[in-house]
Amino acid sequence: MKKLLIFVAIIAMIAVPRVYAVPVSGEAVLDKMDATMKAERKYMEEEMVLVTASGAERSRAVAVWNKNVGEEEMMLVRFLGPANVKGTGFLMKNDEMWLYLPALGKVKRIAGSAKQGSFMGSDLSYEDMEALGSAGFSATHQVKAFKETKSEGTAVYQLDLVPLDPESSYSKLEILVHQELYLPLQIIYYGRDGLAMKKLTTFEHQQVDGRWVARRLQMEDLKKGSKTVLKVNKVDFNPAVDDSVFSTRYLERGI
Amino acid sequence: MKIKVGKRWITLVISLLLPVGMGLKTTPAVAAGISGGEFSLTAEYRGEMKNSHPRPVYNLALETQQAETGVGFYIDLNFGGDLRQLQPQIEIGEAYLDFSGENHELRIGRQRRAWGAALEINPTDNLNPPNPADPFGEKEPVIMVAGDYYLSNTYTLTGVIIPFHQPAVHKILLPTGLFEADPVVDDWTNTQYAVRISGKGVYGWDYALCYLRGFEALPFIKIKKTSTGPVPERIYFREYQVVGLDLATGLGGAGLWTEAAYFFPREGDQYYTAVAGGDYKFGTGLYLVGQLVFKKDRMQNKELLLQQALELPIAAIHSLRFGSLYNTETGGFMLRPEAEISVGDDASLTLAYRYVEGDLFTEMSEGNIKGNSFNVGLSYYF
Repeated sequence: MKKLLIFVAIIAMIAVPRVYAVPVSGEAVLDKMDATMKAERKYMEEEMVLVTASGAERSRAVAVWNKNVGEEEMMLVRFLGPANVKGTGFLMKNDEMWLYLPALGKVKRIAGSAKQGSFMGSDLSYEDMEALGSAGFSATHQVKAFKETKSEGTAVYQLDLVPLDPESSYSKLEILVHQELYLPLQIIYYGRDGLAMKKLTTFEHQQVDGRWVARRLQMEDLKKGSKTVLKVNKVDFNPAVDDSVFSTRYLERGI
Repeated sequence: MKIKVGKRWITLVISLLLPVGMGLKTTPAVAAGISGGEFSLTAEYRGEMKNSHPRPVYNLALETQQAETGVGFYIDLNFGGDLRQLQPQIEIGEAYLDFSGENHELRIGRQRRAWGAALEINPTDNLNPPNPADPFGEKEPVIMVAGDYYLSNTYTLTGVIIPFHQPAVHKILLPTGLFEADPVVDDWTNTQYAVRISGKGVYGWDYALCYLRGFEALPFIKIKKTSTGPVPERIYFREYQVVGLDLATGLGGAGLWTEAAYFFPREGDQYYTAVAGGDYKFGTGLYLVGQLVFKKDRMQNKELLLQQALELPIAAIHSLRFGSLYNTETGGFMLRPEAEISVGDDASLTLAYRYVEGDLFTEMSEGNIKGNSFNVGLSYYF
């Protein structure tokens, strides 16, 4: 009996400080992750490599401008290559979207339903691009579960998020956040059927202008077997661009 | 006559010099190389040419463009012909100069301008003549001076001047033979012009209002009644005015649009075309479009056309498309299945079939497609 009490006391001594060593809540971790990723303005040049289930690869180069101030969420995407898509532009202003195809020679409004679908044929949706680009997750998701754990030897926070928008394509997001960098190492997106749909993994974490950035992201479609690799070649958290860039006028004219 | 033509060229020269007066940089952009292009090989099998070989055609389109602050130019040249012959045909596609400032853009030269919110059938788009062999395809570029003035990030005012009339066809086939239409006299007073004001993202709507004064792209037959029956009195291009409107918005995830134009010819009866349609993209990537076209054509025939299109991505990099058109008045219809297979970052293979039954339009001169065809094309972009 005495031995048992001593054992319990030792366990308590180990466990109790451990519990109090978690100074954060799920919401606080999410806010800090958003603070790392979010920016009022952001410019990125990326190479997007589409890998089909059979292994065929197609590459596209894109430039992405983001603006996220208050309720305003804006994104402008310009395809830099290859030649058959070069010049194609895409503008998103909150729930409105427009596409510019050079061959068509005019700006066309896109149906809002496209937001749930694939972003330019990739495994990322517009919803994913928005959250990962500049909008973050805290304004659009609620933390349902939070715990500390380890992923491949790295201490991480595990967050289970539920989208607030009932029209979201997802029922749950399971995120592993690096405890020091506050960057998502992995996100598993669950569909409305409760099954895992997609998995995002981030690599090559580097500091840019004092912020941690993932230089390579990989989104896998767990049902189709395809994946999209995003290589961030350039990132600027304070681009010198005017608000008018986020207009159909610039979509047509180019920057 | 020469003096009159000269006056019109003076207008063009003034238009070219206008940007200088507007305080723009006019440093010429020179020594630009080939900036891009497309090389394609196509073979078309036509149903009505049963015993003939498919015509293998090649086309090399070269683009060059250069843009400096305020000034730029663009030109595309097409070298094409039958692969079995050595003499290529060379034609200029678009060739224009761009002068841009903070709130305006001026484009002068041979160019295309696409107006309208609807799919393929755009009643407000009357600046460039259609291709009678492919009324749904790309229109012909024409010489014009086109200016956009950005009133704000939302509103744009556009003005267009087209000094020379360029018809879609010069001749018309009648039961008694092939007749050439009287051309529009190359005269200062026959200069065509158009204005358009458009707004995008105005309380969730995109809209545009436009006006055009010009000449029809297709010849019109003026009929004279005689004791032996009606006979053609004159075949010519009527002067007309066009008032148009287009609107686009979104509702419940679907895109919705309407576009209409009313045509007021100087002689003869007025006519109109109105289009209403919508599109929706599913989470699977399936994209659906449906459109209704109401028309009263130049011969005062009323017709209703049903148009549909869908696109389905296959393995993210390929796509299947299917389009159809049905004329409830004539019973004519067209089916267009198409597959685009990506064979590399810069190359694609297209297989397209077109099946046509009956008349797609009530007015024959509008560009009725005849015969079925199968088209195979390989394109390389650089």
